[in-house]
Amino acid sequence: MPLDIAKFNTAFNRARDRVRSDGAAQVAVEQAELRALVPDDASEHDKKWTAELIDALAAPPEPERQWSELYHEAGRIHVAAYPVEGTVDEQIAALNAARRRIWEIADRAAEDEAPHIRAMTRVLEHVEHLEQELRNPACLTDAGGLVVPRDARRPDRT
Amino acid sequence: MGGSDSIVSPGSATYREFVRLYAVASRIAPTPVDRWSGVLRALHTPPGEPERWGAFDPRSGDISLSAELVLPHLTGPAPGVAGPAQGQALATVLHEATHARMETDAPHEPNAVRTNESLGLIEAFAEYRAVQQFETFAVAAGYPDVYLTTPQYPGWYAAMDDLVRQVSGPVKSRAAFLDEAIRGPGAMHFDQLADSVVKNRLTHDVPAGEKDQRAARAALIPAMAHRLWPSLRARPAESGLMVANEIRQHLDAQVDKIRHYYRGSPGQPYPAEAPNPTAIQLSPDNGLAMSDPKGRTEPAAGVDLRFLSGQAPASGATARRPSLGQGARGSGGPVRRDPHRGTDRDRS
Repeated sequence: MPLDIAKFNTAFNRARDRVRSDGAAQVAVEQAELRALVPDDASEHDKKWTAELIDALAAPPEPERQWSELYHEAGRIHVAAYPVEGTVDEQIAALNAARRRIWEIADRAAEDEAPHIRAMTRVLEHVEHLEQELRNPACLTDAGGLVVPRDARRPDRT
Repeated sequence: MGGSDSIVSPGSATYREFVRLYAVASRIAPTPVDRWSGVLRALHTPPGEPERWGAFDPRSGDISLSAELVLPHLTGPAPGVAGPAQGQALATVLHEATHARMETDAPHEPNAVRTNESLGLIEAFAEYRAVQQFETFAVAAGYPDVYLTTPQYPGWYAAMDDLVRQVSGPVKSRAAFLDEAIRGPGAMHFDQLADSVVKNRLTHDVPAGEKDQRAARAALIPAMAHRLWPSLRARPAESGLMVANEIRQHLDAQVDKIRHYYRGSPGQPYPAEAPNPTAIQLSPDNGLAMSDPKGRTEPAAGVDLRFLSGQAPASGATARRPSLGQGARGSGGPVRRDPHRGTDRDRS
């Protein structure tokens, strides 16, 4: 009987959430339940990758990555890239400038960090979309939204 | 921004590897839909401009991936070459596969949310899925050494992750929601989140019948359809958490209302307004109990086109547009949008 990959995947996700996030699981029990989902006659490939995932459940969580100052500098630019105030043209110009500055920082960063810095620009690079959204903000109501002055709201829409 | 693309030859090793990865993404979470045309395009960006990562075009069914950031990393299993760039590339494949393997719209579903807030949530969910299932995807595909760091700065991830944790519980887990949402349609993501709330927090209050369940979900959806969903992709994590916290307050209040209502043994479903009343118009005999007090109607086909293209409703139609409390669009004619609007991989 072949491995039911979707069933295994769901069970693995649930076990992973319990072990790594909720802290309310016994790893060995979770692992045993997952192993029971892999039939004896599963392909060698399926046995191999499922075993890797199951074994990894018991691995201690990796320490939080220590980023360089360049990463955090790019992060600060990202966070400030979307100005609430200003005209639409000014907002678009700010987004463009932020993209370029972040890429410049990525070019100076270490090889293993540069891709993560470039990844920050992903939401800023679709300027053609943001531009259309900015130029056509929805009419806002007071229902369910953030309590901010109306004048400050319009640029919020993207 | 400029940019062009070219078709990746189906005979190339890159194309074959993409097909293999796309199949792996489908195997770990099967869905009833496959909208990919089989055409893979390489996105080229003019010199001096930052690359785009990828896109799925719902009209043509074509998938486009960056010629620099993604396609060169689809090398197939090869120990020792993995790195953060390859992790980002594989996550892009999983993200676009998520879009291609589900319907976006659900015009016949009363609880479909067909607004820009939904388009924002669809993007957020595709990326959430790419992060949540990355480990399984990479290992099953034979790339055990690649890794993906959790996004640290963007608001959408913080909002999505927090919201999924809020609605999940012992009856319907985060993993169960993930499986359900991967199957789509995208316009039903809010309804799927609401279903988690009903199952986990209103288990003993809302009767199991479909009318009651659907009405309760419809009543919960406005609490989650925050008007800032579309803009969260360009907002910091703090904004995402702020949105999630506001949603929590609205959800808690609505859960209390629904609970209070049913404890009075009303004998009929909670009087909620359907997010998509046009579906009720399409099926007048479907027996839905949800009210539509303003009697709003709108031709479904028009809504369909506008939602899928990300366009605003035509001027004059706004008064009849389904409103979820986050506001209707104002005046102004239809807006041209890039057809990729709803499906670009807006990650960071």
